Amino acid sequence: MFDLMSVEKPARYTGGEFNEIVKDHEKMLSSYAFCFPDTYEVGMSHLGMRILYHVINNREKTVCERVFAPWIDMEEQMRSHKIPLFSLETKKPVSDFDIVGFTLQYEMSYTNVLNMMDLSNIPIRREDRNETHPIIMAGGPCSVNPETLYDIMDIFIIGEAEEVINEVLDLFELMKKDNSSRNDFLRKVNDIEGVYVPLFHNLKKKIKRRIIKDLDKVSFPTDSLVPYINIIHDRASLELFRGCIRGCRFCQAGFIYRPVREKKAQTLIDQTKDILDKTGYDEIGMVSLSTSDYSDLHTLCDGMLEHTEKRMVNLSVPSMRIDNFSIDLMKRIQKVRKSGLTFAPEAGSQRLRDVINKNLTEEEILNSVKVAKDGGYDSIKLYFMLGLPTETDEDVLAIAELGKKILEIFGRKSRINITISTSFFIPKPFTPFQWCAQITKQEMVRRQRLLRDSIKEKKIKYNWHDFNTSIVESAISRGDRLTGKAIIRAWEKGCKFDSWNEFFDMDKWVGAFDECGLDIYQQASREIPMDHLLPWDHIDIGVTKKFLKSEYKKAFSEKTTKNCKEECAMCGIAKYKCGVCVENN
Amino acid sequence: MYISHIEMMNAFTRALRRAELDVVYTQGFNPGMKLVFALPLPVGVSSDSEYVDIWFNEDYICQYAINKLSQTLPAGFELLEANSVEKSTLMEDVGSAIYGYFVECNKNLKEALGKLISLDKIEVEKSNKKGPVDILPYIYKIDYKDETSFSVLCKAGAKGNLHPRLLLKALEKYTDCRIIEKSINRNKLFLKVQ
Repeated sequence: MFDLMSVEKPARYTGGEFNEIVKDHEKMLSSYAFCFPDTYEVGMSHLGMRILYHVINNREKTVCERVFAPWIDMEEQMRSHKIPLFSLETKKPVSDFDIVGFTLQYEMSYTNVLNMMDLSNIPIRREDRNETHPIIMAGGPCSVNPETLYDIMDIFIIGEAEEVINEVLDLFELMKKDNSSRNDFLRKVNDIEGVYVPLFHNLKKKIKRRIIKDLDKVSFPTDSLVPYINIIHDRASLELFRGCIRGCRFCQAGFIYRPVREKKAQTLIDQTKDILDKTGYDEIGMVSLSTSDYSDLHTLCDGMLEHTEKRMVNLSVPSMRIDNFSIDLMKRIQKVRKSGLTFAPEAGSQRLRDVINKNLTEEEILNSVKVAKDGGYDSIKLYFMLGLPTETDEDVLAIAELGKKILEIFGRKSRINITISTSFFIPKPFTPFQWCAQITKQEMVRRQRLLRDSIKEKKIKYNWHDFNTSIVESAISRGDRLTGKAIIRAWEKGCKFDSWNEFFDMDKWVGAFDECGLDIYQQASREIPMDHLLPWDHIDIGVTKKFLKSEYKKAFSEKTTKNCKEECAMCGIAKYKCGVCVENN
Repeated sequence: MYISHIEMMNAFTRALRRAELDVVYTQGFNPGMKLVFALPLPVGVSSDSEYVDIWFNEDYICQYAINKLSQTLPAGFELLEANSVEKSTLMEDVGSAIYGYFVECNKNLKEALGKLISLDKIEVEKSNKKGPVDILPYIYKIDYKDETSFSVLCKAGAKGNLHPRLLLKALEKYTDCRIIEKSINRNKLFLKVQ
């Protein structure tokens, strides 16, 4: 064994945190290694992993253990000492588990998936695996386009996993007892709704996304793990609802998590007490796509504050629209320090905001800024996207203009700090913009400079996102099986931790695509004709293609769509008969 | 032993909150629980026992507080004993410590330690400060056990403290041997009697 002290943050690999679940493998029917393809600090901050860790471990005869991507220094040590990748709980080699499940949260973690399999001595290609190897599974938002990992995975779970994972494990445990073969299991598991088995997929069948209809009834972990080391979101997390009523046309989350299903305020207040009792955290954060859209936010905040204030616990309320209520709330919860306020207008001009269906007017933005000013805030962050469909130079310049208008509200002599950040539009599957092109690298550079040069005020700072990672993400997110081969090639060339700037290597990605006969730049910036088949056409997320097409057309005629609470847009998700779809009728 | 001092503080504050013990909070911009460890334990150094002062709003019976907190501390922590004190002087009270080393040395360890202790001064660079420090006055006694282990009684606390790894650094610097640290353990902390 080597000395753990020779690597950075050894507690990433030691486990033993409070509320960790350790079970005796001998007494189990099956074992599941839950793999997060990024560092401990990133993975442990992810609520979905915590939920499934508990869902699986709630099964008396199934054990679920955690595995994260070892950092570069640890990987070197493991490879040189021939130590295979192991779980945190019992340090069992990943290859000894029955099922190895990866969560696909972002495309830029795919090379880490491959690297973790390799570190586990598991062949990365399905065709090279046999009865001695674990079943390799994937889920999470990126699995709505599973084809890029077609050669890798045995099973994909499409949608929310709390119920379907139990169905899969029930079947697995039953068949394991009968000594069924790997292929027999894969053939059978293919019949479960929401499960996609590439090997046995019937081309006529559509894979229906699974959802949890009633979030008040589904298990939510209040005795959640409490890490020793600081993680990215080092607090207790409480999920308010899933889905988003807004339907911004670039936003994948706005479509693939529909419909909006809220937990009742009382459920959340009870869970607040429970989670604080059981974790001892000094901060609790609300989790959702848009906190302000929660129906009963007043009741919820009052109820939660009742538990947090007497315990000296901070309440963190992200993604709030800025109005009088939220400013008052901020005053109450952040008694001393004022952090900055964040707005995400996404586009600078009203025209473009209408194109993307960001139902936010300039008047509303400026009003919020006035409220923020009166509330004593002196730091404002603004997020925009460059390269949105139909964007013109005028739209780019409007970003700088909006910054200037906000500065004027505060006054040029005030202490205000305004930060404008831009990222690049990335077309994603299952959005109305899935057919749209990403702008070319030359255009990215040009528009970024155009914006940079038009921001002249010293009090306005401009941050921009690297264009190369946006290009790779665009190429992968709408990729197909051939793209998958390029991802394998990129990993073979040494790509890993691609979402970490210090490791991202564009030349390797360009080379990998090239060797598979693909031009990565062309892949990223291609427009897909509407009548072409899409690599993800066999996946049915509930929102219809017809609706996405009509949204696409409305976008180009600069027409907006009302949010789900105002009016049903007939997106198709109502067939699930739950959440906002039934509450409104 | 794999966590930093701040992370250990966090582990305690979270356990105290789970135990629902009524702890005093500091005033100021960032209110925090009032608790003080006698001497931070460097990352990677294990320890047989540590001292901590915790301020409570209520006059708990010591055994009650121990029982409560024991139930909520993570595995690996054990509360040995508690006493009520009027005033916390823990940090000033720390005077010396014994560290037990387990090492691999490519030369004769006994000779190397002998040579080190016979020097007029032992200057080593501290990682965080500029200029070398003479650590000889901090070393009270070195007990050689065998060729892989020894222990050191040294000065500790706010008014002069020997970081246990500095001794290994000094050993390499002055005796040209190569040392591989296998483990360091804080065997004991001594408090000055007031």
